[in-house]
Amino acid sequence: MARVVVLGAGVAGHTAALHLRRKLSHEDEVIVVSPNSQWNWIPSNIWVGVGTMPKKKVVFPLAPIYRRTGIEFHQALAFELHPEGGPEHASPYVSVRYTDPLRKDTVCHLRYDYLINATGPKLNFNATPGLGPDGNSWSVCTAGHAEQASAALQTSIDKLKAGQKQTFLIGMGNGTCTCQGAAFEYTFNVEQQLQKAGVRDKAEVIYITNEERLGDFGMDGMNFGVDGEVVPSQMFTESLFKERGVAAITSAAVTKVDPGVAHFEQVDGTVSSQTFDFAMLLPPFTGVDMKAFNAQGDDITSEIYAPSGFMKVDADYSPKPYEEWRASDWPRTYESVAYSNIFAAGIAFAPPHQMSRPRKSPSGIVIAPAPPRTGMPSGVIGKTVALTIIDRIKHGNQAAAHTASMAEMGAACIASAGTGWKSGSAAAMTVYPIVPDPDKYGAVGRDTKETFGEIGLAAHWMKTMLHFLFIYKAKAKPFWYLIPE
Amino acid sequence: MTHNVHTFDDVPSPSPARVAARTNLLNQFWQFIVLNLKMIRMVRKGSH
Repeated sequence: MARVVVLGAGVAGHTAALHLRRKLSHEDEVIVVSPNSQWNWIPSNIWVGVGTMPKKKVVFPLAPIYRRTGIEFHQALAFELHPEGGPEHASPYVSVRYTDPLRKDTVCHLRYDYLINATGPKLNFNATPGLGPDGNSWSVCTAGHAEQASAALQTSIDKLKAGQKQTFLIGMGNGTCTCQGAAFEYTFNVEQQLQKAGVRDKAEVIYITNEERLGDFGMDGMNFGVDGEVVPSQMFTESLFKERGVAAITSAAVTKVDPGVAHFEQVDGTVSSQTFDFAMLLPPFTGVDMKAFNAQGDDITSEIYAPSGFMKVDADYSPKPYEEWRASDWPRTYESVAYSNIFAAGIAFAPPHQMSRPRKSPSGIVIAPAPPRTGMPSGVIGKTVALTIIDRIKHGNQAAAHTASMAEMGAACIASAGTGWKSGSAAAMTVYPIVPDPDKYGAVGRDTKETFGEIGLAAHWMKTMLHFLFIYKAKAKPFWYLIPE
Repeated sequence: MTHNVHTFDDVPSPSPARVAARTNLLNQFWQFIVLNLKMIRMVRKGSH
């Protein structure tokens, strides 16, 4: 009888848990630990953030789903890993602190035979003074944050209707942020709401980003194959910005957010600030706060986790300049570097480096988009890791690992630019592979037959369809497993 | 004060025909099918 503990119930962790439960025997235990009581379809948070979708449509309680599917659920926050056993158990365990009201702050030590670390990111608002909903800017990272942003947006729209001009600043709240796609989506959804409210002419919409150029998305840009030609994503993206009258500040690291003012430094050394009436600025991500100890009680956190807090896996972490980065640097099996029964899936694994060229301002501020790990690769990695564990439980520890390198995987991304079944719009993009591989594909980095971008109503229909499909899948409804990650 | 704010004045705009095609229901219904097929192909390429 094997015991698999999954830390995290986001796309990667929840996907892994459902596949584990489906394929393992009833004698094997599948346990999920998550500090959140609800599952959140994060891609639709931007619609909550502009008020076109209520929060209840993007979340649902986890406990009933896990009860129905036979998964043991602990609403708790993991804080310590003991991969060799420790004072509480002779065998490997993880220490968790409950967040559910009935057992709040009680500590429990969960033994495991296999552990999947799918904790997702810590939203590091503290990286920029004044950043975040507890500070001077809004966020759409969680459904709760998005609700707050929506209310604030409506206040600004009301001021516009009263005749006041308003400046909307949306984008990255730090030089090391990822999720440029989400900020792009929020920008154009806000712009659409201003159009619909009839107040667009009084509003200035500015996108602020750490990307060197628009269309980078933390992926070093893309080259779309369009009718036999190669169209850079920069051109594709800038065209939309022009069309919708959105301005942009690029190569910028926001260094501080005061009430109504974002201070930033750019890669050329320009130090400046931008006033705003409404700001949605995303935080950078780090790994969650976890420590690890060996059997003797020595702190081995730095052996298992990178300085970023993400878990080290089978990647090449040797420091090297951008010109020496290779697709083969990226992990394939997501096994921990230190323990073969620990895996990291989704955002929780430490990438070997960025995809976009990292830069610094003359004063040393890092301006380097972090590599995105979006829903599709996160789900694929979660399933892949689950399949490896299933094989090892059934056939022994030497069973070969399943692989899912982001350098051998494509992704489809649909960035909403406005809602409405006849008036909506989105940019549908496919990219293959996710991690550019110039050795294989030359200077364009990717397969231009499979790397594609198109803007239109159909992409909005796709995004809406995916909203319903993935929530159906996450609720483990009949034949959920037929819906691909 | 603001510096280095780009407004993309020199970026070419899509043609009126292209803009109209983005909301033409027939055209977009076809695009919906094409996008789904591309997605399925992407999923199959990533499966190992």
